[in-house]
Amino acid sequence: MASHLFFHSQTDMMQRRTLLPFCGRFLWRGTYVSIRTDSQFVLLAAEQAGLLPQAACDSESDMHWEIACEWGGTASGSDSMCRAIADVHSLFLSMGREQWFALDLETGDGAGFIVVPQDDACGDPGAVKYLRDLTHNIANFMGNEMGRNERS
Amino acid sequence: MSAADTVETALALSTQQVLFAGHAIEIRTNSPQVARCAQQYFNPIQHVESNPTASRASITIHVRDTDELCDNAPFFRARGHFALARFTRGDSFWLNLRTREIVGECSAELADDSRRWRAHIFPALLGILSAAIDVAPVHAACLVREGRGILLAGHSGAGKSTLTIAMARRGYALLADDWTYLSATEDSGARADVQAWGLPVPVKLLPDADAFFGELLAFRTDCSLNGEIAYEVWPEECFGISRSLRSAVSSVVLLERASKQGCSMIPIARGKAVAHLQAEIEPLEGTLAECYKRQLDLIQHAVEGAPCYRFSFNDHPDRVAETLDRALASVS
Repeated sequence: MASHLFFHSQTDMMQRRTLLPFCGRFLWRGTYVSIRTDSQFVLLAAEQAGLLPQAACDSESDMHWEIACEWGGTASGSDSMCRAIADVHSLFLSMGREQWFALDLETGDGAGFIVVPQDDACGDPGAVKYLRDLTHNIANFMGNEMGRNERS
Repeated sequence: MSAADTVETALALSTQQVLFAGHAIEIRTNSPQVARCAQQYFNPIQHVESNPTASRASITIHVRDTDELCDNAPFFRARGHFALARFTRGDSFWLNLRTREIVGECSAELADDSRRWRAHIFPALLGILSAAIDVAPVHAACLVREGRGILLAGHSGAGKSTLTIAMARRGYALLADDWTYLSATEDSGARADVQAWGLPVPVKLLPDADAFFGELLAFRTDCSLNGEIAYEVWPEECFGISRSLRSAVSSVVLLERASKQGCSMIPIARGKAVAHLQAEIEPLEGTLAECYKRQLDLIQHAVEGAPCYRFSFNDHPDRVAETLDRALASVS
């Protein structure tokens, strides 16, 4: 990468290819969402954030999200202000310097990183807040868009 | 729950179309400083004859009031067809590679820092975008003489930049010292003409290069994007050498440091050169897998018909450049 400007492709410094072995499928506002992640705590946090767990992950879903962990990152997840930027096709959420989530509004595909303390042994309140911020902002944005479409 | 501050990025005041590796890209911004910087940065590229039909990608940059620090703090992550690039503590640049759109926001202080835009921000963003617009960035310098492009490939530390400057001082035009962008000139099929393109970025030389190039002593070393202390100088200004913006690839030279003093050049199979260049491309999966495959094809096509060599060297850069220059002249 320019990405090549700061790393060599073999090292995957953008951590694009982190394996995400865990998967959960949820019902959220009438939509099936599958979440792939490398920490079961993210799936637990999704549940605590209000997403309803469903059966097997390989069943069809409307939205596919990938959330990779930034283990031992420096940004605190629990007190980070969420900032949203939207354009026609995407919604981008920044929750601190190292936490983010991006959603493709056309395909429902989403991806991001969450900061998890290295010694996370019993879940992380920051993860719940991350999922709450994420769902709150997506719901807000989609609600606004639908309102706009109805008005126009 | 904290309320999110949603920014509508459509409030751009300035829109311009620029060319990157032969592809039209639309840049929109609400900042006169960023607009001016983009215009200056891409101006040389716009002079190249080209008939872009429609923008292949867009970059929208929103400058906002913030007192966040503008210190050097690069952070890059990617997942699926998304990427996030940060250069300081007060900026964010988001990429959706499926839609080929970049949306960014930064402070007024960063907007005004034209050096950072030219040296780091534009090249990094375009590099990440490359796969989505069918451009293959290869880790190689490129020099041009009489319309013939020579790719000098080598791993970091092989001495690409130093040798490139030494060669450019012998009359070669500099296309790139580190990353060269391969792109098909038309989308007419598998036999499209593949060209090498450069970006007007500074040349990065490690501090010990001033032992060979006295001109560097008039400049200061600084912290580069990857944290290395280095000279980052504009080659026209520092060395008085000329730039070339694009060229066909006429030969490929794989650089290798030798343990014994001296220089030698031997022909190698084209497949070896192709494999070397392809190995430096970041493998992409999922929705970007096809983009990655096209990047590999671009490299294959670019090197087709180009003789390839391995050049081993261990000597003063000027002597190395002289030997390589002669060797290339004897085989052309």
